[in-house]
Amino acid sequence: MKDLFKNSERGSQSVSTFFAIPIIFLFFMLILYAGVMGSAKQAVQSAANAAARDASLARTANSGNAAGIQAANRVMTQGSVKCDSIDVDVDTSRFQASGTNLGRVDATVTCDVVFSGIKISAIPGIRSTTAHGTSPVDSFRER
Amino acid sequence: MVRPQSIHSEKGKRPTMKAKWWQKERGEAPVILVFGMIPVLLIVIGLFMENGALINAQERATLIAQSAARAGVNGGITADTSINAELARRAAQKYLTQSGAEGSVAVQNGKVTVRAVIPYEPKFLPIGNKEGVGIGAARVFKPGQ
Repeated sequence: MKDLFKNSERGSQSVSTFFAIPIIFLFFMLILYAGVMGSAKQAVQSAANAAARDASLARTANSGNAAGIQAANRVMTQGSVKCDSIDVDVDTSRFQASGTNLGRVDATVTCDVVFSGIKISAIPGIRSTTAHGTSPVDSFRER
Repeated sequence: MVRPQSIHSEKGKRPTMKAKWWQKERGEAPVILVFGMIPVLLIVIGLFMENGALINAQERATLIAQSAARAGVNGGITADTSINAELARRAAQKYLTQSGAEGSVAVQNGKVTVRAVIPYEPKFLPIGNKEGVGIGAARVFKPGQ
């Protein structure tokens, strides 16, 4: 007993555990963040792909633009990814084939991901996630 | 005189041996836990991110391959709705290059098959294969077929 009071470290375990908890918590948040960003990137990519493909299936460049934006928003609302703002840019300037170049549609989707209530782009050094999709326009189609 | 010996002195550990540094660290388990866990958790996070990036690259490569196959069919189609292999291959390769991908094109029995490869840069863990591979095929469908 005397020895115990002279040089006691009893109870220090719970004190250092107390300091360890925030660090462990931070790491788990980091893992969670990685998961959310990964699935957000996936969702944005498939939205861009869908936008490009849907736009390339349209008859004209103008209706292709509208169809692409619609498709991207449809895909983004299907998933569980929360975006503060979704930016869809459908480039149909090369919709018509010219010379040997096939017509093609490029789509860019940008999502400002919300991670547990925080806008990701509000954290310094982190940008919102962006993806590009491209699809060729078929030259010969049933009309 | 025979003194009853304690378990410790019987083993000859406590009184005789000088305590090593790891034996002095009583109560340091959480510290070791935290600092030992950091590299493990970093590796877990790294694997997580890299796997996501790889799947993403594969998905993009698949889309590019499918699009390139379609582009190949469009470029190689002839008046009698058959495929000119050489033109188709050239059109598909052109589309691959425009999309920033490498790959190979095969034309067989009017079917264009493209294998697209896109590189990706690992951000955390420089391990595993560093490219996304996707395969896509396209052919001509005539109306009523």
